[in-house]
Amino acid sequence: MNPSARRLALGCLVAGTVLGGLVPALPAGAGPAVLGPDPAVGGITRPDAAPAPSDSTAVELLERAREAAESQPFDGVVDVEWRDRHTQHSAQVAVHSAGGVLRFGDEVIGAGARRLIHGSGGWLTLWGHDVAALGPPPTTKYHLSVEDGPAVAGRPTDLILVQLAGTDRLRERLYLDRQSGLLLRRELINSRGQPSRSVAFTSMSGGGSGGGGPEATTVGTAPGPSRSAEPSPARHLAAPYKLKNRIGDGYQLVGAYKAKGGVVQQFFSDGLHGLSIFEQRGHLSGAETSLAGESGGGREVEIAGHTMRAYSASVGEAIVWESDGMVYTAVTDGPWMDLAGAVKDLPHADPPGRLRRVAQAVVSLFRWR
Amino acid sequence: MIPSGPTGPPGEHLGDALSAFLDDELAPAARREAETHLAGCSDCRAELEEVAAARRAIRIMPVHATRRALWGEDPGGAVPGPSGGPGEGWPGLTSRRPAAARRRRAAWALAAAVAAAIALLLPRDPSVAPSLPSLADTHAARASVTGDPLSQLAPIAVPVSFGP
Repeated sequence: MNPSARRLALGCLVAGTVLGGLVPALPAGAGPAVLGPDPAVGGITRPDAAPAPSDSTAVELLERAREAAESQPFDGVVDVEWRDRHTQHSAQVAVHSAGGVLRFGDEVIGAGARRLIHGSGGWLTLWGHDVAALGPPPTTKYHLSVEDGPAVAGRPTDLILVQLAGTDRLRERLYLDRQSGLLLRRELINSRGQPSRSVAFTSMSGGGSGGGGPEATTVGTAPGPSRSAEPSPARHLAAPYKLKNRIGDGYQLVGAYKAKGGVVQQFFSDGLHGLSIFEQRGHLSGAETSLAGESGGGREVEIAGHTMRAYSASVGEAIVWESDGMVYTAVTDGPWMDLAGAVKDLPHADPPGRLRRVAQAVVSLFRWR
Repeated sequence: MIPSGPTGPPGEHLGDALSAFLDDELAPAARREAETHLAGCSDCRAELEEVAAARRAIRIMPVHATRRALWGEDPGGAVPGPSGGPGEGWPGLTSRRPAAARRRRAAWALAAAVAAAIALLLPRDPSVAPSLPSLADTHAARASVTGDPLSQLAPIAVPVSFGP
């Protein structure tokens, strides 16, 4: 690296450190939490160290895949597989991309930074603005290696093997189309070395294959939404909400948002996976089955000595619990162990009994402030 | 305290010692002295019979009637009769609990009532049933903006149902 390039890299590192400092690191209970000037763009994290050559190649491939998903026209069918405790589930979704609009069946659309989902009331906007908070680079937590992969949907691939840094334990496999750069298959690997969740193309046309792909004019624009459920960036969070700058195994806060119904979302990333903590004031309803929507009431798990309810779905894993008048819902597209590790870092006191509440109320009458 | 003998000088009526006599709480010498007195005193024999009858009546009273009397809720301070009906009180058997004790009990009852009122009036946290499918969609939408859109959005295009 020549001196000017070294100075540029150092400058980027310093700038990243300064910008990274915009994410608050307030201790718990230190009063109202304040986010940086724009939580949606704050918290940019730069690589702590230059990645190894294989890591660097993998990171470039991943960035290329992101760009390809938003720019390459293609048609295909994606198979989504996931496993709950005893059952393997599978569902297929038709995917169509043209003109920068990604359409998944008739249900979901991604166009630029917009994310829309179709429900009984028409299209609903879930997200609608760009973010610059990319989270930490995956090489902070993982060691990435690249090798030749098998054909997926009849297309040759590069395979990225994801291992926890410093271990030889495989956590994830990513198969990328050599031609288009698209991510063709993604497998999360459980502790037994088996895929626990996967998204994979079973067929594809287009994607830079030269001919046969959909024209950009076939889907040029996303529908105008009739309703919006887009959360707003949370600049200030008053107690009892508490921001955590870091959670679990390498998950960093990259944004905090307020949604309707008094729901506060903190979004964390480890560079490859996202993890959201939703907080709502109140106590958990006794009708746990209503949490699960159409199927099942989840399963009881014990984390840090406390009993909670856990759920598995195509989207990922979820845990629901309450503590001190707050109901927490943690959702991740990452591994289950990551979710459990993050939950350990959050409040999980047993709910106070009525007698304790009376005692607290009486004592509070005599508090000085 | 267990009386050691009849109250008052010999020759006087037994009075309160009758109760101790019935309870077999008199010392042997005092008991012999009381028996001697009863043999020669028709008034004391009659009183002894009344006390004994009253005791038998109390033993067959319903428990709740006894409890009410002990708590001083009997308006006349008299213990109800065997059937518990009005006007059947046993004269002379009044609640002997001191007024100070009653006041203490009343104070405790009042404190308990206030505590119960506080417990009922405390603002209850709202009941929350998080909508997991909705929260999962929200998470996936946010994650897909900075992550890979294909692998993040495809899972929410299938009906999201959380199984065990």
